[in-house]
Amino acid sequence: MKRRRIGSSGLPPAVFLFAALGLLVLIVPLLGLLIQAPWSNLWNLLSTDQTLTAIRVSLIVSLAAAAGSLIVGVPLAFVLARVEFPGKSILRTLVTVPLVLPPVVTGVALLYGFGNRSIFGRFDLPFSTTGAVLAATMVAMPFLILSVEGALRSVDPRFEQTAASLGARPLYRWWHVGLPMIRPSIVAGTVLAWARALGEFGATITFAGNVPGVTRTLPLEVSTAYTNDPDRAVALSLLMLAVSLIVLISLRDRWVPRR
Amino acid sequence: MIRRVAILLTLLVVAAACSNDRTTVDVFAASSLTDAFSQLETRFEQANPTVDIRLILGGSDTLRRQIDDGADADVFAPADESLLDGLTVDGGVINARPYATNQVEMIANSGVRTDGRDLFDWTQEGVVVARCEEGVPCGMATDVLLAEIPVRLGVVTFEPNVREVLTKVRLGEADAGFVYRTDRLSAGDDVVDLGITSASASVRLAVAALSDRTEAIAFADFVLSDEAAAVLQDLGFGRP
Repeated sequence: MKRRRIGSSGLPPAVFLFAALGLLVLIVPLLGLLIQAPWSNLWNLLSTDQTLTAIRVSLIVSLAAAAGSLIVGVPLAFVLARVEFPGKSILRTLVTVPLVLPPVVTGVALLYGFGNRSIFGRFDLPFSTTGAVLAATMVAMPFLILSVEGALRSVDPRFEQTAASLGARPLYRWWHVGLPMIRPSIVAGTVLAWARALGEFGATITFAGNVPGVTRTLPLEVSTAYTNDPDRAVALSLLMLAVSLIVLISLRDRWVPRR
Repeated sequence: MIRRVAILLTLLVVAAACSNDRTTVDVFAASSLTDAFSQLETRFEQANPTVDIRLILGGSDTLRRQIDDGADADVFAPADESLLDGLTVDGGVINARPYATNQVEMIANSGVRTDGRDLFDWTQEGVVVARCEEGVPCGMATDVLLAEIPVRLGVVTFEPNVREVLTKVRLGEADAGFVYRTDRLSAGDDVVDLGITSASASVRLAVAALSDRTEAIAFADFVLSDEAAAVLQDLGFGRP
């Protein structure tokens, strides 16, 4: 089938039209934020005690959630990729549910699983920093699991089998052969999980509340500031946008291979 | 496949457009009015079958911001009349009319032991008190109450609206909280009244039609009617 072509791309004009529309949807909101931001007052708005406290809480919560995801998410990804057992497809679906579940639903579920009135016991987690970490971990870990599991599928298991035939014990060959082969995916998955944890809002405010200095992370600070001080909310939004850009640029080689 | 999806989507859109031949009136109401306005909606729709009242509930501040940003609200009923200040419709100043009052009180989850406990001290380890965030009407009234009655608070969670405060206390996730009298009454046995309140920690509710559509004005009028007053009184609202 022959079509008219634009330039050397070989794409029909309609594709460019819809691509432009897609670009508008993605870029117009960010442009609006950037253009109307209180640039001259930005530093004052960002250097208040409230903001610094929220940054501290956000760093603690997101780094702990990324570390937690790493420690339990990588082993889980290995089990899902390498072990065959009945009900595995159901388990894999369950593991990735928080990816698509509205975060507020995740928060309600957390209340019923780990709340003060949970049928599993009293954990004293709501309204604590640990609770915020748990909420962030639940929404962030699936990103890491997907990244690592995908990499494991494309790795040849014979390297580890060879290590085994040479006498390497299971833990040794997992640590020295299995893990290093997928290191880039583990790093990328952890960074993605960290970024998702940093942006987490719905599950956190539902499960861990909005306690200043304890569970009020940057996104919660943005939402709180928006009712009293919209300029500060915009300034905080710019901060989060800058962090997101840094994360994406640092991952660029992974997701957008250079030519 | 794509064609089938397209046909299905078209049918859905058409069905959605056809299914409703009633006039829709968008009522933006404070979350503290959830129960009250749901009842008023039912009564109004029974009396006016051609009108479909659509309740948009949320924090009064959020709703006001949405209206300022161009949301098409036909009627606005915030938790305090101050949020109607400065609103105009088609260049004309709106007619904000007060119809009820409400008062912030301190409540506790009914599982919290209140006998032999210092009701003014909530600073113990593991005790959480929920309140509305500063700047929203229930938050401002809570600040007035706390300035008058010095209740000592430890861990405080600032919720975006009063209903979230109520839910957290009802579920027992928070031990105590500051909500409106009407919220306390709506929660029944789940919560107990601690008797910590003040007449100055009150809000005056007002309603205004933001469009000149007859149905919008009719609903705003209905909120001020004797029939509505009886509903509101049953729920615990005061008269202005």
